[in-house]
Amino acid sequence: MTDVQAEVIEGLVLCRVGEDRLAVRAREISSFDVPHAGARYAGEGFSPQARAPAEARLLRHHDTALVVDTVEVHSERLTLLSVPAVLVRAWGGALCGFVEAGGLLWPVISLERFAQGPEVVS
Amino acid sequence: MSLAASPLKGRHRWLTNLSTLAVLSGLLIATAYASVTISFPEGTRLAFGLILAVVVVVFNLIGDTIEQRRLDTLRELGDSALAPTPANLLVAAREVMRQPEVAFWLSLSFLALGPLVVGGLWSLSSSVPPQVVLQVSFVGLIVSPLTATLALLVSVPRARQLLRELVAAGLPVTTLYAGVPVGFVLRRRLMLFAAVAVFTPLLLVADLALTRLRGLLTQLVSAPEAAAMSALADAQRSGGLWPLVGLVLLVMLMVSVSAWLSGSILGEPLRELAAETGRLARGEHGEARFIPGEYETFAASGAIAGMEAQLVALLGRLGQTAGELSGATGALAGGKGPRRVQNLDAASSTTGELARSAKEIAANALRVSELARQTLAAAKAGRDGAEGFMAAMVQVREGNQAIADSVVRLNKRVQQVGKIIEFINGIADKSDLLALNAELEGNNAGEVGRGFSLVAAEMRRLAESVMHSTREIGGLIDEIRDATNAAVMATEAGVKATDAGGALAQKVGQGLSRILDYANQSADAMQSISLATSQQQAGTDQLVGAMAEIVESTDASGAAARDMLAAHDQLIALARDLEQTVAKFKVRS
Repeated sequence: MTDVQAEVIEGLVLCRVGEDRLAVRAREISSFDVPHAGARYAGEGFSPQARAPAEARLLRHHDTALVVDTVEVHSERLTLLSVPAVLVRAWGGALCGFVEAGGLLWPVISLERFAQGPEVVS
Repeated sequence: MSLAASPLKGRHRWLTNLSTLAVLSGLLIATAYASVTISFPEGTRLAFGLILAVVVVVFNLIGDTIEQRRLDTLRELGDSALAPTPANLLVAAREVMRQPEVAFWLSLSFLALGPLVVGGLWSLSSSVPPQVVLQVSFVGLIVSPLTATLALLVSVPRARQLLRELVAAGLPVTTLYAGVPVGFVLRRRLMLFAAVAVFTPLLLVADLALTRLRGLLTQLVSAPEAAAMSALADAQRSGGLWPLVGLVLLVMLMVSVSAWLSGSILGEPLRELAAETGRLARGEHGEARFIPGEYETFAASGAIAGMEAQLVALLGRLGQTAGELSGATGALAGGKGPRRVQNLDAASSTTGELARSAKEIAANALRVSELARQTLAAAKAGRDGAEGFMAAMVQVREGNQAIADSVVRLNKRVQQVGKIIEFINGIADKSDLLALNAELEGNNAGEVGRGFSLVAAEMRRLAESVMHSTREIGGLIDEIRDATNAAVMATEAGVKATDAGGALAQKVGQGLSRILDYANQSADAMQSISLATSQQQAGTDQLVGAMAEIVESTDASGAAARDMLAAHDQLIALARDLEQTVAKFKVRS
């Protein structure tokens, strides 16, 4: 049995997409911006009919951009909870784990993978 | 220590007995003569007889004491008070040879002085006319030479017998002949014997005749008439002659005995010497024999004994020389000379080889000496190098230790820098989040907050740049930490290596020091060997020269050897003649 050291993450950007929640490492976000056409909405990953609200925010990291409903910066140190590999593959390889913040579980994703869509997962 | 009974016991008394008897005989003659010729006054005969007896006893005791005191060594040898060593026996022999002379002088003294003493005492005790006293003294003077001669002559045979016994007891003959002084007085003794033999009877007869004639004339003058004178003459003719005849016969007997004994003094030694020389003439030699004698006969006997000893030794050496001469000529005939020449040639050749070998040895010794010197120099250089290496190793060790200390300090500094970088990174991380938050807030503020968002975004880039730099610095610090750890380990290994190298260098230095000592000793030894071989070479060169001269001399003597070979036949013949001549002598062992 291998003892896996739990990763500690300091600096998360907590995002809400509809009723769902996402967390991205702060270092994976270069800037916040206003959504523009062609930018991928994170809610499409949960429901294809989902549409971004008007006050949505664009998360940018180099050429990658993802639109979410709201954004909140969380600077406390949080422990990354590991997830099974099957669940990681179900998320298209974009799921890194879960953190607990504000009494809720937040899935931590890789912005670049999540922004590329489900075709990347396969 | 008790000694065994000596065969010489009592011989000192035995030696002097006959001389005492001779004195008593002389005393008897003197008494008889006095009784015939002297007219003793009436009443004095008894006194005369007593005085005579006392004087005879006293003088005999005195004479015996003197004689025995002159034979002390002989008496002590007889009593075993002295060991019969050659020295003691020689002293006894001297005493024995002196004894006849002692007996002579004692008898002469006592017979001459005794009547004087008797006459003096007699005249003191009785009224004796001085003429009678003089007659008594005169009788003693006449009889004393004959008595002394007789005492000497009767002592000689016993002295000779005792000398033979001393020789038999262990006195070497040569010691006896060499240790007894010889007086060459035989002529005087023979003259004395002859004079005594002739004059003593003459004086006695003359004195007797004069005394009788004087008494007859006195009686004739005092006769009253012619008839009385005729009667006195007839009485003188008819009687009173027999005592005189008896007295004369007694004197003649003593003279005859003396003459016979004096003749034996010469006769016996001469007879034995004649036999000994005859034996020598026949070539029968042996150990020297003792032939007793006196005066010149003793000297002649000693000379013949010495001659015999010398002759025996000479014959022995002569025989040995003849044998050696025969052997030498035989060896010479056997051709040892040529072999000697061959041996000399071989020796010369061997000496030449020895000289060449000595030269090679000297050259090798010189080279080895030079190599030893070079080895010594190299050992010195090696020792100096080892010492320098040890000093360098010490410096290297100190340097390594300093490096290790510096690296340890550097590692600590790097760790501190790493902590600082982590701290900066944490700050940059916080700054990044703050700037992200500020950018978000500025973005939420719309156009108003746009500038704020731009500043926040720029701050985020700065923070990210700082974090990137700190990550690079962290990598560099990790590399530096690894490098310093490796450097620490390397320096520690270097210190250990320098320690081992120092110990090894110290051992090398000690070994080189020992090598230096050995090389020094070897250099000294090789120098001594070189010197010795040089001297040996010089000596060998001299030997070669000497051998060359010997060979030349041998060649030169070859001709002489051939001449010698030609002459050796004559030498062999001569040796054989010599051996035959020596063989004629019969040497008894």
